Amino acid sequence: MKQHCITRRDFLKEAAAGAAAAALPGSGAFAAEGGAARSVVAVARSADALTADLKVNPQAARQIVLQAVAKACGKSSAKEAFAALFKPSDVVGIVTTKHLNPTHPEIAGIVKQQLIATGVPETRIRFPQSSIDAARECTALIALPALKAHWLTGIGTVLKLYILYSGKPSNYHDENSAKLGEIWNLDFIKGKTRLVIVDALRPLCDKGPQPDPRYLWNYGGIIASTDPVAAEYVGLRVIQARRDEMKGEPWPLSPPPLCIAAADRTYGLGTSDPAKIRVVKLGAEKGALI
Amino acid sequence: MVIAALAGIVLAPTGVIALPEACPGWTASAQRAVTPANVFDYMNGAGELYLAYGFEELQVREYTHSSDRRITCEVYRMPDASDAFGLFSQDRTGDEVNIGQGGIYAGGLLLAWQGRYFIRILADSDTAEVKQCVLSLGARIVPQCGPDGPLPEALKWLPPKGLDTKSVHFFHTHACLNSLYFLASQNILKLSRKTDAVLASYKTPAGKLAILVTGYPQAKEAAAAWRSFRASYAKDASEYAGLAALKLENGKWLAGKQAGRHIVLVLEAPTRAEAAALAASVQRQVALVTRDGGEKPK
Repeated sequence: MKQHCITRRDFLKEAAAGAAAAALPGSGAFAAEGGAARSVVAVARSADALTADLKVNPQAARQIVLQAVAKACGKSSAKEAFAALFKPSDVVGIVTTKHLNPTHPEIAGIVKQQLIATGVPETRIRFPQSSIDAARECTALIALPALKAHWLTGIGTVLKLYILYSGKPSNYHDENSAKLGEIWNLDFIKGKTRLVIVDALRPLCDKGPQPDPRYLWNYGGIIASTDPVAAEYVGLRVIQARRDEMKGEPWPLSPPPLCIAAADRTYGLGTSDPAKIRVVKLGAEKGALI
Repeated sequence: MVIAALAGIVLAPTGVIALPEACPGWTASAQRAVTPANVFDYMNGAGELYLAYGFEELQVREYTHSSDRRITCEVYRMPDASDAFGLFSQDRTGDEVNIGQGGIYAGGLLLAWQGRYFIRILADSDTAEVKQCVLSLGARIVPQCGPDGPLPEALKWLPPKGLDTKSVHFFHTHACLNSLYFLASQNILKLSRKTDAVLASYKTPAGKLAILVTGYPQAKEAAAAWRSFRASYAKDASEYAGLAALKLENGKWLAGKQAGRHIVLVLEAPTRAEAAALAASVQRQVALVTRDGGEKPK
């Protein structure tokens, strides 16, 4: 599909018009509690999730993973949420970010243990990050990326997570990054992602995907949703808020993450309209950024 | 070789940089090479940045401490000094350090360039001991990188008055431009490895603005890029003082012109007069340093 050329001026026009579902991360208000939200995104944070030497604190991390998943699914516990999403007969793939600011393995371990507690046998749990065959074998997927900016695509978190399943990653860079959503509609991927959990313990707000200490910070968060686009959008808002905070003035993500609006409008994967997203915040409020 | 050996440096044959032995208390891995052919195995998703500057080979060595801390040392061999500087110019946020022709240190990260080499050393923590080791590694690599290399000629296109020198970026491609300043999703300025470009901030009495100058091998390529830019971005521009000028949707002004092999763009200036004055100044500077009347001078 030929991509329409989107320019900086398009964004300036949208901003001037106050468009709610702008292609750039804006400051549009999220849906109010009790309103007509289409998607729920839970953001659970703990100041203790990382230790002083940046190791994962397993207890605190586990607590925020479980809280976030429960709230994202509208259940009273993570156990109920996992049971509603996964059956013991499923083959569940946990897809993590493997390289360059990877998903903390401890978070992947917590998710795996929760699946096992739900009744999914360990032998039916996969980590199919780079294998198309392994992904094909799965009946359900959990997207478990780490939150980071990306110099080619703006953001390199949820929607970019499946890029290796395309078999042609370079086809989705630069001006083609808007098409990342089409990978989620490949026949062996489509409809399988039942849960998105974003590792936002220590995100990267610029110069990604290579780690850069100038732009890494301790957020101590987990972002969870059943809507991949809404989860990505909320992660983006966190990154954008951090950037603005660092510079003391608006510091727009560059390039803008065109993939998010396209995932909503072109590929129908979820919503990027803040008015249709209800954000449930749990835990530490200081530094929440949204 | 004798001097290098006395300094504790082992020069590898065939001009390959030999990355230093470990700092006291650290253990070094074997050195390995990464080429454009396998860069994505080494850094999937990040390799395009180095490819955009034409990197030829990367030497990598890792250092681990008994306390589990880790340092990754990378030295990129670039086609020439301009490209080494270009990578360095991507982001100079940090404390300046006297390593190579330019160096900065921030939070465990050392970025430096010397001759045709770009050095990136990253620690996973930032203690005094780690910093000392990172800087020591950088200082021991620099002597192997040869003599100072020239800055890109394109930097001379920028008039010095009002220029924020640390904001100067040198690059070639559309992807690099968009990571620094998003203009359009498609390559409307027809940038490529064959084009040179500089982007910089200026401070004027009326406020801050940015300048983008792109240079093409031939005037006809610049003319084609200008037509493409006008059609995609500035269809509604009007003539003002010999330039194309327009008020953007955020109230700021854009002014630009193609002259010979170059395109000069003043981006988001506070006033039209300010945009035009700076564009004219840059155009004069470009003409002065390149004697650009069309084709590339022999």
